[in-house]
Amino acid sequence: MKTLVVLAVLLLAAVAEFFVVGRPALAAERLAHADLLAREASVKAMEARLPPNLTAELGALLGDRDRLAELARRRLNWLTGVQEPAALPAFDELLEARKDRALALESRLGSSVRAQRASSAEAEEALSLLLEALGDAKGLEVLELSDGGKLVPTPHIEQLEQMQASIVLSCSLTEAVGVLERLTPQPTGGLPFAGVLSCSLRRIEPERWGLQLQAFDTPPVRLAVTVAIYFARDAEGGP
Amino acid sequence: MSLFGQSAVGIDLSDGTLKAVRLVRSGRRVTWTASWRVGCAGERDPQQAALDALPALLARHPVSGGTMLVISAPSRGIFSRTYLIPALDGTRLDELVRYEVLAETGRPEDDLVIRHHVRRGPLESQALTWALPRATVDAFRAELVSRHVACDALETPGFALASFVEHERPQNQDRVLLAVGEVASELVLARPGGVWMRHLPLGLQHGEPAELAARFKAEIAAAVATLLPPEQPFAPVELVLTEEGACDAAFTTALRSATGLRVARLDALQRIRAARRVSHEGHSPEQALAMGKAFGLALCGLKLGRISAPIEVASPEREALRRVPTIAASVLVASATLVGIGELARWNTTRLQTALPISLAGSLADVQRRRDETAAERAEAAASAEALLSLAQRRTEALQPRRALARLADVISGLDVANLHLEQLWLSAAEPGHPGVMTLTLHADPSQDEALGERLNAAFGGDWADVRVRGPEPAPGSALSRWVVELAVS
Repeated sequence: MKTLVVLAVLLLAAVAEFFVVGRPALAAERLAHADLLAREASVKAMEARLPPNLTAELGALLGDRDRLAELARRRLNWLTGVQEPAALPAFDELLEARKDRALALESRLGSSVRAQRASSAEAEEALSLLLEALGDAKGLEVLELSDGGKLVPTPHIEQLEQMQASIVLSCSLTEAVGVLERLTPQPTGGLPFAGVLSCSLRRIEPERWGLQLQAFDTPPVRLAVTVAIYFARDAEGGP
Repeated sequence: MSLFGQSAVGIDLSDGTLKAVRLVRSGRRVTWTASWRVGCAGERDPQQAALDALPALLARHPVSGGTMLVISAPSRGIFSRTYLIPALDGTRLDELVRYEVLAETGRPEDDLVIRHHVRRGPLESQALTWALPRATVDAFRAELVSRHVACDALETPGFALASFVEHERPQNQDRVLLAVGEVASELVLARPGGVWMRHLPLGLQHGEPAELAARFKAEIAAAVATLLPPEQPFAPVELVLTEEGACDAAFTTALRSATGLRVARLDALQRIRAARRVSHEGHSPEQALAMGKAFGLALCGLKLGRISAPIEVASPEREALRRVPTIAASVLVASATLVGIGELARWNTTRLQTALPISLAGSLADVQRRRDETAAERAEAAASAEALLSLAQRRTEALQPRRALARLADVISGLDVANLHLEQLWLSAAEPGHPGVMTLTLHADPSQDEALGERLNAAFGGDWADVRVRGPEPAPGSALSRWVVELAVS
């Protein structure tokens, strides 16, 4: 009798356990199964959308990206130099050295250049760079920083920012070509450096110029240059 | 109940002492695990007292449903014969035995309980038969029921004694088996050709050893004379003595003297193994070994009785008890299944929840997003490298006007009429995706129109891979022809 009572209690406990724990567990199992089916469909749909060799493609992309990044870094090093560049002559010294009446204090161009120089240190630096590139060439008609010397990010090169400038110069062909060749990045010359975006070289006296072209001893030509001056972009991403 | 074999308890109540033995059978091994003895010699009616002591004993030592419980049947007035019958099938043999018993006793069939044990021979079989008045058997069963004692079978003490002796001391010779109790005894005449038994209301309480021995001798002689067929002389080689008489040395000596037979006692078990710790209660080991009838009853319960013709008792309680293990197992299995279903569901839920996690889809999306980001980064790096290359090439581009002018000077020097001049030089630096272009606009005398184009191509083609010469066309505002030379400078 005791055995039967014990068995009955045991069975009752098992039944109670089943109703309290087992049935909810079965319901949870069915729910988990339905969730699994839904997840399976979701993952299958995701897999169907993905390319079959996604991981290999990602690996190739990573390798390619790193290779290109290294190439860009080397090119940037070549452009910006790894050593500290030689300091540019002071702006005032450059103006003084030119002894150009067009840049005299009282002239319109002279006052304009001085006004632009005062806008920022980068503007002064850019003007100094351009004045140095002009060398001994006279006949400067326009020397103007675009947007008042405002620096803008260089497209696709996050380490650099640039400002544009316009130069119009009437001089001999030799001087014009020399100016053009000085407005270029110098190997390991460091920042800032200038690069010609576009230029126009027009004759002023066409009747005589063609005859003297062989010796580059020509009548004045008019050189119009749009140039960009490149600066290092600081860590905050702005000047 | 034994988990690993059969077990049986034999209880002898036939001689005024309650004696019980429990045996366990595992394969061919039989183990004696416990025995109990309740002496009732001092009671006014020892046999009734023994019967009264039975419920208390079973209460102290319950017999589970899986253990066969065999109790000695009342043997007073037992009718015992051995019939030699030709080999027949079971039903016909039963009918023949019944016919013989009824013919010999002259009593109606309903008044008797008849059982027999068949010893098969090659030509004929021995039917070791006993019969008891049905009223005696029914009364005894009623006594058991009134005491709430349920058993599985009733076996005659004589057959139980014969089974035990045959099991422990097998011998193919005539012998006398005598179980002498306090108030009653069982006499069994055993021979290869049959077994006969008789209940004797004579025990150790009824006289001195010598006197008792003489009376037993007379009873043996009477039994031989009345029970055994006269044509086969009974020549016993020994007298096997069990129960309380076997523990009485004086009686044993007197019996040997009186009968002239070798009196054998079972001092040790030969084929039954005693458990390491046999539970004894109310008796000494010597008395336990003398419980021949109880051992025989237990052997009968284990289906090992060599001479066995029990009355099967269909006891509902015992049947119910016998089903307890099955019921218990079923309940345990059902309970375990119910609990197991829940646990399995919980385990399975965890497995399903962890399988194919949603994060996998997220991971795939992450990989895809990372691929897209890397592709964008790669494109950015490529654009950066190209832009830097364009910047670096500007140094080369700046030298292009000088080279172009030099090539143009070569052209002019070859002309007859040097009426050719450079109207404009336009240089557009290379940008990522767009090569640099240098355009030279020339004005020349129309007399040179025929050959100038070729000359220009020849002059510039050596230094520039991509040269396009357009012209002549009328120069605006003059009589000259205009030529345009386009050079890709990157």
